[in-house]
Amino acid sequence: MEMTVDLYDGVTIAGPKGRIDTAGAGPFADQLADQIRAGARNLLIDLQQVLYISSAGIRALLITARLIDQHQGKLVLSGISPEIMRVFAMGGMTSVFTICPTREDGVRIARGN
Amino acid sequence: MTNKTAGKPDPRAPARASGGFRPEMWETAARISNRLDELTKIVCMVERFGAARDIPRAILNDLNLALDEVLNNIVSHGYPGDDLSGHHGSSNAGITVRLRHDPGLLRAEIEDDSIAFNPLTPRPLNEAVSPRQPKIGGLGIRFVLGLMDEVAYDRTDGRNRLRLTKRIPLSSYHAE
Repeated sequence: MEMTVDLYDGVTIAGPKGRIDTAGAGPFADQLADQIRAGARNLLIDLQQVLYISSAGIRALLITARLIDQHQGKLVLSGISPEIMRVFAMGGMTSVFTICPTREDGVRIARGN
Repeated sequence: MTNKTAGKPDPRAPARASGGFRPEMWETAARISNRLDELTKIVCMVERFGAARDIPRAILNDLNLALDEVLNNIVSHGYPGDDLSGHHGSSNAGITVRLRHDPGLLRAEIEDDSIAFNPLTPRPLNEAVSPRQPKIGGLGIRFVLGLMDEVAYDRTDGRNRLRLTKRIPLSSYHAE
């Protein structure tokens, strides 16, 4: 799972690329867990380079949310396409995660201001 | 002399010309074993087929997503007693995925020889495959039912068969 990681204004911005499916979900979750264990507490996952996310990927997001919560951190999602939002809605996930329309909004909310 | 009907475009054909369109390749198939790491082979087949048939990206994404859910389900639940890498008693254990494209219609058929397993029946909510996974059962099949236009299951001769149908509206072809 190809993923960029940037640090901006105290926020760790993760940019996964491609498919967060059965094959991609494990590496996706592992890379995010590495970031959290390395100290990331304000985490933004920007999904604009993601083609689609299956239930395996949703589980990975839930695992990540639970992990950062255990570390008293905050997780925000941004860059969700209408197609991915449709899948989130089908899974009843739209109220489970903090979702922002843009990366800039996401950074602001993840920072906690 | 007036040219009346020659060259008139088929209204069902894609709106834009594509050098990759291969009318003869309207069906393809692949067989994988019941291991989670084999699923990427099906993604590759869908992508190759989609490119050859000029199927819109959004449709391919929906199909790949639905197939990921179905195949993950079969590998994870269809062979009780196996670990997820698929160590299985029968040497012929396998899952066949067929794709077929007709104008405006994309069909996928997933056939496997696992235990009688209808993925359309609700999974128990507390079914967890591994300790790492939160206990949310049935999420995947909800996606399949929401993304596909038709989903049908039957079992014949010891094989499960799931058929998915996705309509391809003309509006999903972008004019370029």
